[in-house]
Amino acid sequence: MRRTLRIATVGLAAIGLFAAACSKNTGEDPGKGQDKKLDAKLVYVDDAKGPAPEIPGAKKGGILTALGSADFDHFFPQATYRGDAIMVGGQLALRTLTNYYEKDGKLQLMGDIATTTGKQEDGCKKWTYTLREGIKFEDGTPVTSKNIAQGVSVSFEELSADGPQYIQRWLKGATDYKGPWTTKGQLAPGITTPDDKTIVFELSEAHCDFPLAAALPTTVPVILDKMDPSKPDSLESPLSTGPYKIKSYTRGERLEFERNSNWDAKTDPLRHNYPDGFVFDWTATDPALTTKRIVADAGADKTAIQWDNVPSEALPDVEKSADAQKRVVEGETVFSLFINMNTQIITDVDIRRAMIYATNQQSILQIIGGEKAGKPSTTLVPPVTPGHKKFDVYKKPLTGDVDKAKQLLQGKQLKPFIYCYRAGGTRPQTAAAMKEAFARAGIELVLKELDRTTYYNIVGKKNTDCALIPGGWGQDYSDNSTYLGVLASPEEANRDGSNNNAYLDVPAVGAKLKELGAMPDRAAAAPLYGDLEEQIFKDYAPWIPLYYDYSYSLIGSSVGGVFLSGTWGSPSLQNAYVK
Amino acid sequence: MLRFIIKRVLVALLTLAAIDVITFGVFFAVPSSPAAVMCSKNCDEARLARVNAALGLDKPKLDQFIDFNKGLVFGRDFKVGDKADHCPAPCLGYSFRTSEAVTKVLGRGLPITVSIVIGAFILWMIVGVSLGVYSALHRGTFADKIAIGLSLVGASMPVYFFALILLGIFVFSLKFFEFPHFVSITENPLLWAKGLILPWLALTFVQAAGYARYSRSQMLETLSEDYIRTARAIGLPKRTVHMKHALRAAITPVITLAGLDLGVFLGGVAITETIFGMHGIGWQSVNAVFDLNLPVVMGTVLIAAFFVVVSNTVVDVLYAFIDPRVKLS
Amino acid sequence: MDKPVQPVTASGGTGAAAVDIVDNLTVAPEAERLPEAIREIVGRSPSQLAWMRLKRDRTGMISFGVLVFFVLLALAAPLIQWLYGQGGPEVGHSELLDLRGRPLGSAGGVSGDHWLGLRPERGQDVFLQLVFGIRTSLGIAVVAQIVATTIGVVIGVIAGYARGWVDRVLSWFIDVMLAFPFFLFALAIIPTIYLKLANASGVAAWKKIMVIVLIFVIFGWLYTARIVRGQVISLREREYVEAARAAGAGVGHILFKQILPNIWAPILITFSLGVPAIITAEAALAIFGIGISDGDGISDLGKLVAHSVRWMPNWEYVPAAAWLPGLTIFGIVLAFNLFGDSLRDALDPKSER
Repeated sequence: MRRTLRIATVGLAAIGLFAAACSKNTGEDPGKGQDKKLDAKLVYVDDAKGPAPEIPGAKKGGILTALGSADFDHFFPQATYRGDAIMVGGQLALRTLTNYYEKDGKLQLMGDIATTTGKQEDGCKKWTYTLREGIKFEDGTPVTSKNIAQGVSVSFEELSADGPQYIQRWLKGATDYKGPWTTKGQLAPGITTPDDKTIVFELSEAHCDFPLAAALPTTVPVILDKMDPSKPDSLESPLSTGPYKIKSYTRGERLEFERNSNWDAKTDPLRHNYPDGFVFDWTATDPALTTKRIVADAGADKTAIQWDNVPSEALPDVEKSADAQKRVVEGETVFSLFINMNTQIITDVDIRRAMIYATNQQSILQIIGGEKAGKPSTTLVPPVTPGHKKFDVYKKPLTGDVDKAKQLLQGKQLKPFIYCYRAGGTRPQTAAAMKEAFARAGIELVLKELDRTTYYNIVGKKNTDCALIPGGWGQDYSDNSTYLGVLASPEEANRDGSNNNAYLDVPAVGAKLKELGAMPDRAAAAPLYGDLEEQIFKDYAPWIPLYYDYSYSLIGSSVGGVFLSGTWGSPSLQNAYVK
Repeated sequence: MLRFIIKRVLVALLTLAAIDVITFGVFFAVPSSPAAVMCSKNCDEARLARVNAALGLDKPKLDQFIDFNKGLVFGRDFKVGDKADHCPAPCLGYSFRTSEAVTKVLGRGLPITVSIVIGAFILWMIVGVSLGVYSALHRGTFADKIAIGLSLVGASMPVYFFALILLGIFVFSLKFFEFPHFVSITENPLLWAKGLILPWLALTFVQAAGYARYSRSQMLETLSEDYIRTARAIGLPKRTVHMKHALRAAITPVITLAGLDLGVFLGGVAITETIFGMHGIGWQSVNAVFDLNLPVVMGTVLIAAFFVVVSNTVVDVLYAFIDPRVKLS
Repeated sequence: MDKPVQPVTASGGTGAAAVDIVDNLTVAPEAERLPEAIREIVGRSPSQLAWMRLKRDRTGMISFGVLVFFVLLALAAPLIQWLYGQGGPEVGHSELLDLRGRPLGSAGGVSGDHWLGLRPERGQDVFLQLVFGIRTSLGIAVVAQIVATTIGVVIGVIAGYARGWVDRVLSWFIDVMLAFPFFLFALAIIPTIYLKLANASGVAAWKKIMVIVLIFVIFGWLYTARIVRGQVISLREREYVEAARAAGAGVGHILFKQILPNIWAPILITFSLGVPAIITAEAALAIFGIGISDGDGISDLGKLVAHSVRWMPNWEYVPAAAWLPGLTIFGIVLAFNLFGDSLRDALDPKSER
């Protein structure tokens, strides 16, 4: 008898609370969010002077905390390639020759340490910059042109191999130069510093986009004497020239910035110093949890900035809170996501075309969370990159066109293709969805999961076994030479650690890319890139377009002035202040 | 007695040594190279080799093993670049990812784990054992049945399930509690306790249930022993019989199990820590696994095993004091 | 895992509790050889008594029924799939989801075609996922526990019977293994083993399952071994064993006729406690992404639970997918616990529950 009652007690506790979700999901857009578009047009401003224009409502004080899950790999400027790391460094502490200012959705390029975006001579082969007066390092030492030359020289070192390599490739006579530590103090050839305030770059070829490359951290000034390659720590705390300097850095956990008293607002047309400091907390490893915390907006979370996107399972939390919806930071970014089809393995272009038709883009979007995570694409290059052409070579519904795919595959002998993907996140689910979609058309995929360390080594070589490699790319700066110019380049395909994972190795394409890259008028070159991309799709079909990246995250109620920087794909701290 | 203690300690040391060897063997037979982790995207063979050399990973495994153990006892210097970072004894290895000694990394997480575990331990022992004993003494009553039911639920429920329910209800729906945030006890004891309430509750519910069941069954068994019947038969008051005699006999195995449990838990309560965003050594080790930061994982395994061995030894020695039969066996 | 598998007895002890159970079973075995009629009067054998007690225990029988139900469900999975007619459990019905990955319709997409609705993001049928998930998880747990128990019995018997240094070494080895944090170890080791096993096409799903089973076996046999050892130690001092030895019986006879028949009780109990522990542990590993991955095309209860955990805070969109996996595991564990309790009570007449 006792036992029965025991069951009842237990049973009651065990019955699930099945209050059914009575509301019906008809698939309508629950949030009335407006998509923020990014203006692709870049404006050159050559008469910018500090201080930067005041932000209405901003006041001094307070500390803002960014909650994220992935620490920067480096904080050493010349080795930094990650968008958000470059942005944070550039906006808070590490000034470069030129830099960006985002205003009202428009992107401006202006002189940062330099007075202008650069004076070119000799058909864009020679670039001269004059430094502004009064710029100092955090220890009070004035910044001279020599420091910039040293910074560029350090970018040649092995240590900086992970960073951008543009200027290094362009400098005249620098093909064999290996950096100041390897060559006992010798600086990079091609750079001259006639006086403390002037620096001249001589290039081996014409590059009218040099000012854009100069905005990358390659040109961050350093004091060579204070850097010791045998002490990695000294490299990870670069001397600041901006309104903030590094207070403490615990790798993988916390990066703290405090005010830099040696920054003079009058010398800086781009930056403000409203908050007392910034904290980057890398221990927020669950973005869904971070979303919930910032929606709840309690206590310290009022000054929090969500660094990762709101994941799909946490979107309802935002939808359910009218208050949270007012605190959304969103927008298009420069990234586009696609799947590379290895042209060295899938040699039949009809099979590649069939794969494009067989792909179910809708299922991919459903995995990542819908239109707040990405917009379906039909091209490789995203709308924000100059030269984006809105073409649709392989018209199909969002769920794919299985019949067309089967048509193209008729009579063909198909073997299984290896689809290589990195473990973690939504990637395994995406892989499973792709396999299912292809199976409808009779294409067999073998899914191969790789871990982080070996992934790039395996997919980055031309002789890889991987036939399908998911990829994503964003421009390095506002020019298609850093997009199509990389992803379709034969040179890149033959390099270890290639980013051209479709391994498209067509000399004609390479030649055309070089031609377009050398054109002095970038505005005229832009649409030609679009035409070339469309032709590549028609003739070679090397990529399966998936979606254009969209960023969607939250900020606390006391955070002011923060907006989504489409250029870097992260919340911009340019105008940040604490309310 | 002393001989017994010495023998026990020697066995413990031998156990630790075996664990050392096994852990090293398992983790260093691993193909995933720490150098590759440091390299990220553009890693070619030459660069990999250079990093390996700098970190001493190109030496034969036996040498690495000896170096590791020397470091454990005497401390060790690691060459990072050309720099030498000293790792004081006991040196559990070097975290290449964050350029610091593993002990330093774990030193940040240990206070958190200890806070969670010790607090929960006290709570679950008090709640669990009293519930179990009360249940046994009032067998068959309604209260007993409720207790049995609840403890069955608690013992069958996975900890993460319950933790999520707690979070969902008390933090996000009702907003009773703020999201747990760790404050060191030396900073502010009140906030320290406040931040730990939810993790304590989650662990306590599940563990107390198990201990309630165990205490209850032990108590019932003891109560049906002959000597208890005798004691009651000769007229000793119920209370004396129950509390003085039965309880002591019933509790001993429970305390034994508790001691061992404590040792295991001090090694890290990864799931609880992860769900509540507390960055104790359990969370650190899980993250280290995903970062492929093997030295930290190894360090955590060794520390966890150390706690278990120590608690085993302590419990055995204590048991010897209590139960004279053990000494003589 | 946070909740360690609790052995029936404490470490190093003499297996006090288990011994008591067996104590009461050693009624003279000779009773079994008497003719049927006289046996009726003489009384039932211990096993028969136990079985009678078990049958009387309603809770025990109900939970046993539940377990049988789960096993049948698992075995009949392919048949169920064929009857259900919606394709395999891993098929993603993306056309039934909105663009944000949430099922269209009410209650997470419940309909005549999909009785329990769909999972978010990829749209797999929840009912089929549960059925096949139970199949995989139960299968792994039962297989692992059978192997672990077998090894544990063998080692336990050797250690308990041989005594001396053999016993000391084996016991010490068990202590060493028990000191390792199982969860961490599994978390770190399993991906590395996968790496080692990977070939050009990655790691086959069945290989992944084998690795998981192996890990559970490696840690699972320890508890059984310890308990069995305790049993054997106490048994070998029994009068009838001594008598048998005095009469000249060989080791084999003693082992198989005297000892083994009397330790099946604790073995059975450890088995019934071990299976749910493995299922829970596998789910815990899956929460951290270790084990069977989405790309493997195999349904797994642990993986299902891991996914459900992410959607539980917003369960209204997918009520079945969010709650049922966790409740299913809870149900299975509860059934095993209840049955294990009943088993223990039936085998130990002393503790009147």
